[in-house]
Amino acid sequence: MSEAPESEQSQLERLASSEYKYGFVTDIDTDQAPPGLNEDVVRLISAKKKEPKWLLDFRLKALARFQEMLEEETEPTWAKVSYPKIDYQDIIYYSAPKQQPALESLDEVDPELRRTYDKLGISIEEQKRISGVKVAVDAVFDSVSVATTFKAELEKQGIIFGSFTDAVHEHPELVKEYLGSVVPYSDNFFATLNSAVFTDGSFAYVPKGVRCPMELSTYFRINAAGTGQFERTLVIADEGSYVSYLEGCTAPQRDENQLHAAVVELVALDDAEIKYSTVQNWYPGDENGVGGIYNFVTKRGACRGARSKISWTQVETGSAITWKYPSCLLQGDDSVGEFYSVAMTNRRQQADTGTKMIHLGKNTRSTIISKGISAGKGEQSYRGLVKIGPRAEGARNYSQCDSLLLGDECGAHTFPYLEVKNPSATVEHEATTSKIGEDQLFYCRQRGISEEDAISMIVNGFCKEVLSELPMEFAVEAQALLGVSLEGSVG
Amino acid sequence: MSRENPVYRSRIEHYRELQQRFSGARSGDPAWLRGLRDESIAHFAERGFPSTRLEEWRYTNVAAIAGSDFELDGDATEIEIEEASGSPGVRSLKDALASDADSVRARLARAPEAKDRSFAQLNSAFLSDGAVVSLAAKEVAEAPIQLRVPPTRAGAIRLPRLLVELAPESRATLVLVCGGGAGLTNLVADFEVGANASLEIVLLQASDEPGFQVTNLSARLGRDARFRSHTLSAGGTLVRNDLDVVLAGEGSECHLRGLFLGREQGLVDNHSSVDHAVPHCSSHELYKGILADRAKGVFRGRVLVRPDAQKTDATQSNPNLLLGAGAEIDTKPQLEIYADDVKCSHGATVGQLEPDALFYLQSRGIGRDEARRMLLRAFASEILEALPEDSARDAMDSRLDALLASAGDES
Repeated sequence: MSEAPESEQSQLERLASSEYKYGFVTDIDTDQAPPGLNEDVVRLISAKKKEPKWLLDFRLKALARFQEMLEEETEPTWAKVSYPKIDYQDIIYYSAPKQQPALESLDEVDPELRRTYDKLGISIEEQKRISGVKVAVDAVFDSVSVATTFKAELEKQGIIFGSFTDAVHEHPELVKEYLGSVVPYSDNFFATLNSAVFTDGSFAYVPKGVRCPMELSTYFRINAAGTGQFERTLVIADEGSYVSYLEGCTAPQRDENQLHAAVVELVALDDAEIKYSTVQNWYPGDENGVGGIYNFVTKRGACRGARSKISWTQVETGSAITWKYPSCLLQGDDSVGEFYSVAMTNRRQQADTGTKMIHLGKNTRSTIISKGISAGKGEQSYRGLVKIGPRAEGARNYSQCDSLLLGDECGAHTFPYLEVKNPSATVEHEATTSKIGEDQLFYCRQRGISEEDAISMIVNGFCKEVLSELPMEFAVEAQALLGVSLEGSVG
Repeated sequence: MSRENPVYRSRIEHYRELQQRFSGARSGDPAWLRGLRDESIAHFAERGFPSTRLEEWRYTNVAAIAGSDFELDGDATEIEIEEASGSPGVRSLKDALASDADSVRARLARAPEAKDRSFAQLNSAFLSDGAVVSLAAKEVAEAPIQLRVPPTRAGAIRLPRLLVELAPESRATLVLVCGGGAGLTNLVADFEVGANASLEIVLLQASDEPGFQVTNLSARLGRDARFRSHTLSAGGTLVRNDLDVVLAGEGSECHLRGLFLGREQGLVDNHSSVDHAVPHCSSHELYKGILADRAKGVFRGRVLVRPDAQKTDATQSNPNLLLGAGAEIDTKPQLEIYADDVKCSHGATVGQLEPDALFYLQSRGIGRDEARRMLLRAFASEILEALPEDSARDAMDSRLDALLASAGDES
């Protein structure tokens, strides 16, 4: 074991120097708004998207609020992350591929774009050809959703799935009813910014009693330099329906920091269930902390109906800074909220992530399983709130937050908040922090498993509870991602 | 952070005037002491009373304190020393200042400044009396040292100061009774535990009157030193305890324990912080809460493991029982860890008396009330059994009975 520290060091360095696999830039003519945030830009975005007046009003209200917030300097500072002040006037708020696609078939997609997806390994064609497991992909390229596969097949069941812009035109009544109903435009700094300038995103509606026959999937990718991506996702599961939604993210390698401020709203009505899975692999910046995505995302689901269920699963390996708290409002009686998370920080990545479980209805239940892995000079915090309202009779929560430290320059922090206002509630919270046990490593190595493989095995075991919640094809990808991020990082 | 200090600005002038009168009457005091008081009142005036917009005070509203003009309760700063604990190292702060002002000055300089602690600054602004405990090297105080802050009458404030210093290899047990009363008791205590020394303290805050108690306790541990604290709180309108421990010497160890009982509309808030500054230290924290009626409990436990504080072993646990329909608990266990070779864990639970356990006892012919009493005692006994002396245990026992009676048959 005496030589272990040396090999740890060299392996950590090797890991730190491993290149970002998805760091390529696609050269496509883009149609951009000038940088800056003002009413003109918001009106331009709205006009470009031929939006109805109520949506423009929604944006303008948000813009006005955001400008107030800028003046009041209410940009959140409580998270355990540090970054230079963002100049919100220096961001391009609209960037769309020039060739505006209004596509029925994938064959019409710009071949350059298609090659980008091929490089990412999510070839749309391939997706289409998959026979057994069908995945409908709504690929968001910068700000405009370029194509949606399997659209027709979903329509047969009455499921609406497509870009947010299309939904605004085709199903304005649904968008109008639910937009901002879970995350109001004035909710928080970044959500307000998003409400003013969001460009596109995904929309899904599953009608009463329908079990969505395939996993819906969106692939986000930030491409153009100096652009922020502000997408908006709205998923509605009507009574008794079920939907599993996958979201994957990557961004090319750039020296400046890019801002990603998305809003995701989920609504589950009576007996409905939404399973929302994310694999986030935005560019994390280099070993000196240069570049990388600021991932400031507001995700919230409302279990409106009785016996409804929302489950968040996330694997966060990318981004320079992650600020993300997927939450559940458990309003319906007997509703269930779940949060499964693996977050990995390496190099100089910072992550402040967790969840909020707000118990309002009777007999509501929630489970939180959070696994944090910190390596290199990464800083990681779990920040979570479990709140039991005075009327939430018999509410139940179980939280477990474990952190694994690899190396002596990283940090792992836990900030849980438990607020219980009902005496019939049962709330349990546990957290541990440790490093990989030397005896565990020794056991593996003694059996001829290399140190690196052993670490990978142990880390995968550490995350197993979360990874097993991911849909099959995502779990494989997530495991591979963790493997890549972990290569050689020995604790 | 924000443009304006999120504090209550009211009544600041009142305390400024109070302090001027107080200081004016003591013009014979050394210049450094008067300077310290003036500096402290300035810090306090700058900060004001903390509002709930401050993270450390988000669950504890001190509006009732900030909104009243408390007058000094007589001398307002003394701590009574029980004759029985006649260790030569125990004397009043007033005497110590009179006979050996320089060593008191040096001792105060070693205590943490706590500029951001409004209540501690307010205490320093009236610094004049209290108690000093200092044990020489290898001295062992056999009997517990008994100290008592007199009850504070309604509308009045007390600001006693306690300074404790244990030289290497000494050992002492200290029982500090905060008598409560209907006024505001604002205590500051500082403990310095030298190499291989061992200090055990019991802080008993039991009150039958609707008073306020705010304490700022800090401890600094040398090499292989041991520190045990038992914070027992019951009764009163508002109790807020800040306990900060710095493990500054390798191999040092602390056990922080607490039992808090809340009744009626009372609020008990325990904020603790353990700073693992060097390697090979351990800290173990256990705070248990029982809340009846509409009482509210707050717990914050922070464990900080600094870079290089390897081989740290830190545990923290905060189980709570909610018995009243309007009872509330807000708990915030926190770990901040910057070293990798550590073992840290924390846990917090909120629940009720186990129905199965109640049924088990009832099915064996034990009445429901008696069964509940047994279960509550069992819950509390983990803290009470470990107490180094009986009087505090008896006091808490009787509070437990009162709580049980008032909790009635609600859950």
